[in-house]
Amino acid sequence: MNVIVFVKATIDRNAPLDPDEIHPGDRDDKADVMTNNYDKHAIEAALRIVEEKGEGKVTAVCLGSEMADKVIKEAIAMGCHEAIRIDNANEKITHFFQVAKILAAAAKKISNFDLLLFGMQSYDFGTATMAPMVSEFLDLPVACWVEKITFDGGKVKVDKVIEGGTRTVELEIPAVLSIASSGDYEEPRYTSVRRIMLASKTVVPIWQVSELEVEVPEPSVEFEDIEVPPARTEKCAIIKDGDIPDMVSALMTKLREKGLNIGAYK
Amino acid sequence: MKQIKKILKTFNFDKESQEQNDMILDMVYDLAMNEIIEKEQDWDSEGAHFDSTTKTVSFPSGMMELFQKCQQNDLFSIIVPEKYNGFGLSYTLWTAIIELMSRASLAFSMFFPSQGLNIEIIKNFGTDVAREKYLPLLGSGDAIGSMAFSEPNAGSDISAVTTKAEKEGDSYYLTGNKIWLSHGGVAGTYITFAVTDKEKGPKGLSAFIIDPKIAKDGLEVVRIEEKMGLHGSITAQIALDRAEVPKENLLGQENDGFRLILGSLASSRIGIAAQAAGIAETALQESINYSLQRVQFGKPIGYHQAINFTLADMATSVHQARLIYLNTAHMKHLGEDTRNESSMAKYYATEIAQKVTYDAVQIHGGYGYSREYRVERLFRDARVLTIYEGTSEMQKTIIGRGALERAQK
Repeated sequence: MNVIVFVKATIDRNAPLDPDEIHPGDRDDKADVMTNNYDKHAIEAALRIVEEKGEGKVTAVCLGSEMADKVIKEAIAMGCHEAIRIDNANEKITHFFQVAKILAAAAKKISNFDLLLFGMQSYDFGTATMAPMVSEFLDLPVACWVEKITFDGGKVKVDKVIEGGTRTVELEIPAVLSIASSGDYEEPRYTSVRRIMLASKTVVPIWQVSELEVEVPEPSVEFEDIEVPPARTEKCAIIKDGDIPDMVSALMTKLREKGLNIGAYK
Repeated sequence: MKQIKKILKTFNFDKESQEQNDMILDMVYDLAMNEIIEKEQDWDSEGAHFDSTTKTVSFPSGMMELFQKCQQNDLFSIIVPEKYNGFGLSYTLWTAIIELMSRASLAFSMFFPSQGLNIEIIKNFGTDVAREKYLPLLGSGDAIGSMAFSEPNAGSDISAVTTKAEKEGDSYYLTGNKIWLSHGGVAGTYITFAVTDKEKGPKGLSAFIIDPKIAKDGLEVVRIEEKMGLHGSITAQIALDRAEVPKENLLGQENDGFRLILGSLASSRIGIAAQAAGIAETALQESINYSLQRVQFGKPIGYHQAINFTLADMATSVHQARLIYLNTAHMKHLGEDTRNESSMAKYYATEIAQKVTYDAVQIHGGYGYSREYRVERLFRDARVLTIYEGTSEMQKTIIGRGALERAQK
């Protein structure tokens, strides 16, 4: 069973945030970059599938600049057999839709796969859209927020999280899955010194987007600016005197003064 | 974490080693800060266990599971040479790992300096047979290392040991009492020394590896200590009654044990300095967080100059402690003689840990005296640092002697 797992380089949660930075992840200090923590659950799932099957390999794929090398090496240090970085330095990639196109093209180029795994969302933008979009572009079945995976002949049976419980669905292989941070893969493995030594000696192939024969569309949405919300300076208004109708009236008046839509209340 | 990496950048590691160091430190940081620190309070209240009927000891619950994670992540084999299934990485990295572990729990971090010293001594002085046998075991963590130096009447003056070793055939038989053994009763190797020629004083001492599987009933745990801090770590007293040690487990030459052990202690002292930096770092972090949350006289106390300046002193001290242990560790990695510098690092960093943990309790006010808050534990735990592996006074004796020698040259 061959599994491709897609990983993303995000800003380290301990790194300072820069409001002028529209595309987090494009840092010039490696110390500020970390593997999207949700993707570690996907790596864990991929490794366990291959270990249990006893054959096949896990390939980690990451779209990013040189800074993302740290992420791809960490994937190898966790146990991935192969890794590829798709260089984004020469592209103007500003939207998830474009990323999904590129990742789908990369999967097509690797071609020999049974499952495509994603983390359930990213740590920075958290749109959780990558798995569905890629599945659409490749015309493959998809299941999101998967907690448990079993195989039955040529099919994969998964438990996916839905509100208030889980639902079991069966998908034809090859399939696209996004892995939840709960359930069977809740505790991703650590890297180990042995694997780290191996990773540091591994030369990761770098693909250019131009090699993928994909037309990267113009973004349908563009981010113009990201702002830190203004600090709140307002104080709590405490209404505690008078009987209840008076207090309600005072509260509603206050809310109206603040410009809140309070409907038909007069 | 960034502070450690920043300092490591100033050392002469090549690009590949730097990348390895960074990745290993990231992994250790995650393990320490996500899992070990969560258990620290429970370990402190539960403490280590001793069953007096079966004479067995055990760690507080959950500690072994985390030890196993360290094993899975190959952490103990970092300084084991490649020849013995290790990685032969730098002592600098090793001590940085000790700092990170100590940030999470001083009790848990105890595994590392003692494992390191066992590896170090066996690597340098063990027979080929002992190296082949014990280095892979210590590296994988299948054997926990322990040191059995002190005796009831031989503390700082370790030449006063009375445990005797009698040679019969191909083995030595050791008889005597040893105290203050970290991991005593659960260890797979004990480094110890005993009298082989009582006429010669310190020059009649030999060093040995006791393997409990060979010593069998000859090694027995008498009790474990109830301590002021470090409750999660086992500190045992053992009795040796004709404990068998095969001649392959002799370290160095017969009657050369005293010199050999004293020389080796220099390197483990760097590890204790790293522990001190770690516990001080946590005390500092806790104080910073608290002083930003706690509002008095209309603003967070961190913005009152009295507290702010205390934080400044603490931060500077922690940085100094880190610099001195990392620098000394790196000197050792480069093969320099660090006997003096190790004592300086140990003396300085552990004294700083007293001051910083004291200030942390002070900043927390009444809450700092409460067991609810981590700083209370840090204060108790840190106290041992100026005592074990040679008291501050013994370090000053070594440093002072070294200073005079330097003047004469």
